[in-house]
This record gives sequence, C-alpha cells and structure tokens, in this order.
Amino acid sequence: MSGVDERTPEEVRARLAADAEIDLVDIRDREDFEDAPIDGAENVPVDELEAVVEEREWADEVIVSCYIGETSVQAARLIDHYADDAEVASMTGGYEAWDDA
Amino acid sequence: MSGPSLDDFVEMPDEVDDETAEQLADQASETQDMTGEVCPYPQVEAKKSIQSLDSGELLVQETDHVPSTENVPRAVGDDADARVWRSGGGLYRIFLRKR
Repeated sequence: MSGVDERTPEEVRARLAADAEIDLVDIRDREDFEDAPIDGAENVPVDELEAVVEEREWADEVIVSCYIGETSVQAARLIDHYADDAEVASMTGGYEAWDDA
Repeated sequence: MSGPSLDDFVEMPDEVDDETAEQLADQASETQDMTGEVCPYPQVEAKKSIQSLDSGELLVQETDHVPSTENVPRAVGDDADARVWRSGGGLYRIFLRKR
C-alpha cells in the first residue's frame, strides 16, 4: 500500500494564511479537539469518518490531522480513495507538532 | 458505506489464527485493555510496558480501534515483534514480544 503525502504544520499554516481552498480535517476525538482546537480545521472524529467519506464533497486539497500524525496517515489513505481528484495529505506530527511549531 | 472502509487502509502486521491467539494470550506477561481508547494513548502505554518487560516476554493489547493495529507496532519499533489477531467482530489483539 502506498503512503500518502505529508505536510508540515508550517506548510499547513502557510496554506491557510494564503486562504487556500483546503479541507483541513482534524480526526481527534471531539473532546480532544474542543480542548485544543486548530483554527481553520473541521473536526471529524476518525470513528465518524467512514460514515461521511463516500458521500462528502471534498475540496481539491485535503489535509488530515490527528494527535501525533499516525492515524491521520490511515485516514488520508481512506479519503484519497474516495476523493478522486483531490490532493490528500497528512499533517506531519499532528496537533503536537502544530502546537510546537 | 459500500466501498472500502478504514480497515482496508491499515497496514496490519502478520495475523494469527484463533488457536494461536489463545495460546499467545495464555503466555502474556501483561495485558492492556485499550478498547475505547484512540491515538496516542495505546502507543504511549505500549511503549511504556515494553520498556518494563524482559526480552522474550509478551505484551497483549486489546483494542477496537483498527488504526492501533498499525500504529502500536510502529511505536514500539525494533523493541518488539508484532502480530495481530482479529476477532471478526471489530476487536483486535496486538501481540508484542519483546526482543
């Protein structure tokens, strides 16, 4: 199985600052996300992702974030399967790296 | 969802059959119930426990979060050999034998 592209938190911040049309999807639990949100991100907990991934319309660029950047790789693989034309990536290091950057 | 699910996009380590899983469970030095827990807690607990075990001892982690079956073995890295049993009912056991 091939890997997915990765984006550093700095790269994600730059894309958001440029008002890029991206879906930044944070797959942490609702509680974790509410305690420490990422501005500009939409919270879709990984356990709920399967229910929406097929029907949802994805932006041309999708970046997935989790807590430490591991589950987001798997979620990005799943989204990449359904979002045919989108460029899908995982944010390296997840929220922890985002918070440190 | 009719198409592939998250399960199809997780790179699971070698799987064991039911009988082997029962035999391995009996050998466990430690069993962790991680059902209901998601990243990063399963990885953190597995790494802590593997560090406390002696070479050859076995840690069993039970989970219902399929990404953990890939992430937990990766988190312990070269410190343990990993195998996984899947119940078929959405539950998994990750067997980590310390090197």
